[in-house]
Amino acid sequence: MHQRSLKTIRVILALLFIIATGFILIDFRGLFPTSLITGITFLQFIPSVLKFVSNISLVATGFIIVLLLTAFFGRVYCSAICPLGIFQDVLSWIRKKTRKKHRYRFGKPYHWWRYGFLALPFIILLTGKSLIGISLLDPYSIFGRIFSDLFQPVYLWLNNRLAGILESMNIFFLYPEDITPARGLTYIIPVFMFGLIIWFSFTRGRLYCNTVCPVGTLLGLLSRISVFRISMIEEQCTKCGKCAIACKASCISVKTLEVDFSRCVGCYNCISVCPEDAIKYLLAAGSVNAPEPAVLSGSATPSGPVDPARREALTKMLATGVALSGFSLPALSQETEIENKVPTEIEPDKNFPVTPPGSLGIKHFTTRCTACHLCVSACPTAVLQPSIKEFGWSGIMQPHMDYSSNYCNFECIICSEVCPSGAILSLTEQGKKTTQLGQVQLILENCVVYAENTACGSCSEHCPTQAVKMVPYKGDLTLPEIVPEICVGCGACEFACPVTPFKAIYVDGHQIHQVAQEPEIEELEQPDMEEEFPF
Amino acid sequence: MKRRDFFRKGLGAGIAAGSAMAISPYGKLFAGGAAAVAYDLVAVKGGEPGTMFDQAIQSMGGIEKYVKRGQKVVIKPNLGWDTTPERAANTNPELMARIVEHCLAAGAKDVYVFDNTINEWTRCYKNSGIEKAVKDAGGKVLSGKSKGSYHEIAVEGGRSLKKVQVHELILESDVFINVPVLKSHGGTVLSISMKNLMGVVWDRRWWHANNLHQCIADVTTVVKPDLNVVDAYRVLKKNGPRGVSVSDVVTMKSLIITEDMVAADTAAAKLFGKDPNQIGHIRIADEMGLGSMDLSKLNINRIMI
Repeated sequence: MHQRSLKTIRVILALLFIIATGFILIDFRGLFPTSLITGITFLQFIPSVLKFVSNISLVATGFIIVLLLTAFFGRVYCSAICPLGIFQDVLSWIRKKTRKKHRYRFGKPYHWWRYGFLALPFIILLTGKSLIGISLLDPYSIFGRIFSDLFQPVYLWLNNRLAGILESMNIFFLYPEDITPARGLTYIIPVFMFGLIIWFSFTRGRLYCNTVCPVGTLLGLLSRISVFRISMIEEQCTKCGKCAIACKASCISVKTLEVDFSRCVGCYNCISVCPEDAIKYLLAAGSVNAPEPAVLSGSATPSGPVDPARREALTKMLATGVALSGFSLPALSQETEIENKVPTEIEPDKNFPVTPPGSLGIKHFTTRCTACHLCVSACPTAVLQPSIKEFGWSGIMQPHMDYSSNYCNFECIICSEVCPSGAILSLTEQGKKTTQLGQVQLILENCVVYAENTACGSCSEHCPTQAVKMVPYKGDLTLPEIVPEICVGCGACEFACPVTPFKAIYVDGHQIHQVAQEPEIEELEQPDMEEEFPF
Repeated sequence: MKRRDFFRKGLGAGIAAGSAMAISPYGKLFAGGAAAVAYDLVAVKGGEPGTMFDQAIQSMGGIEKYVKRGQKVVIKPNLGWDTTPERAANTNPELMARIVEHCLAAGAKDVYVFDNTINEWTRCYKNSGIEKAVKDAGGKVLSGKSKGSYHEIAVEGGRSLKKVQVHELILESDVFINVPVLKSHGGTVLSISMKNLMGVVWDRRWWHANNLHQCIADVTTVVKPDLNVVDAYRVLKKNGPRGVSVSDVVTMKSLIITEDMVAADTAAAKLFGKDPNQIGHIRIADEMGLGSMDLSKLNINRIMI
């Protein structure tokens, strides 16, 4: 095989990876089975490492494959597997098509930046604070947030337009789906990173991957000593410089005939442009064993109790502004016209945010979640929303169960099935139904039945276990009563409660998830079929 | 379903129901499947969901009385919950399929089915078995979750409810068949045909905080089904409207069909074992003259299979 075909193979692989990864991050119809989704994210380096830390098993060995690939062939990950890397290539390609051809040239490495950004997340982690450095810099998670937070709403908007057109033609192949905008502040990080990526890829090729990306730098340390490296053959080289012009990593010095393989992202453009076959993979003399990467450890404590009531007003208003200017989003739900005659007065006292089922508790979740938002995209009810400071600022962007947006569907376990980092561990449907994320609390004084003597029962109606049930009250009225032991903390009651500004029923999250007791079962007498109608 | 099959089954029902059931075989022959006596309400017991509907609609005068060739029909089941048919939180899928078949056999142009579900809608449609049953029968299944499909109408006769956003299929269709499932309900005691109309409305949450029973009655002044089919094959006796497990369900193998929602709900409440007077919206609707709770004034056909 001629090495020139390496580029073709790389491009095919890259397209497969970016299309598949991008699609699972914007899909809202659950078109891919979860096993396929797990396969697509299997090789993502940081999530795989984190999953391995919490659960040493075959499904978490993706990063080992990446390390082996790197030890043999350099940073194959960066051009063929990493969706953010491929995304930059796509952006550069678009730029090339729209403006004059861009010429790259050799540049010196920015060592301080590189190793600074590699060390920083570990310092933050090891000083016992948080995963924030890793989650903000992990390329897969950055890509995830750009696609999930910014592109999914656009995809939904396009889908809804198209579905509307098809429906008017009496075709129901597509269906419209509500767009649930996240709070405005949560758009700042993905928008900033998207901007940075566009700027870097338009002007400096893969500068991002060689200065900011800690995965790139880490794999670069290994590729420096890999078995095969791209090198220049002095006898054949005419110093025409075509390879350097094609090198988006700016790592080929024609003057010295050297390739800085630690910065090479493995795109193979140089091999394919060289007219003399003077640059190619060669067996490196004196290659040594690959060093083990530092294993992640440490713990994060979410700082302080959270005050979710305060954030409400400001943030939702900002929702459309930042990222989606130009689009008018439809009203977010049918729940906008809530009116109780007397405003409720008692504010729910929430001690902890609620983490998704399978995440074991706040500590496990916040120390493993890189905030890639794959679960946010996959969640069919949009109850999973990026947090701002629910977990403290150090957990920004990590999703939490937002019961003002929606509630967790009792029978659904999709977030636990797709999570690539082990932050949300796999649950069975039965296991989910007995996992208690938090416990129901009732403020009877806020309840519309109690305060205004009118029938409601919305909370009990939504409750899958009858942890809130309606018991006889005045006349024909029924009043909610809670049985916290059988509550799963799904938030259906809180979401459904119609009173404002404060709910009469809410879920207070558990620091560590508990086991919910199963509801009591009492057999009913079957009716007599022979009996006449009672009318 | 062929009209001949209809006929045969109708005849069979007549025989089975005995001499008390005044179905004239001559009338049927001449009317081509329509019964001679027009009943106000038909109650059937002891059959499978589809069979019970065959007999009930036959006795009501045949589906042709309601559905004319080329018409657009909307059938509104209760399919608000992500539960299986055995849990009886949603309308029986076999019954839904049979109603769709009848409508298409009568020459309906399109038969649509939707609900503004409470649980996540794609899961409700799938796990209730209704989406598949309706599609296999030739009906069209639509999302009830796009706000743009709901249009505000005034509720002139409403006491609490003055305006309401109703799904365009209900507003635009020629025929509206309401197919609730009879079940217990934590907030309104029972959920039957009037309560089922909350699933054609968008801004229903407001109702909960503004005299729910009155709102349920008010909406029936403007949203009037042509026919109500109460599914009481499996009945959720407690923990409704969602239920906790199959142990909340009893098998009643019954069905009630009538044009009058108040009568439907009165009869169904009695079948359930509740006093209809204890259910606010039934009582209010009767008071407002929206239907009749007095079943003794109605011509009722009771069929035991």
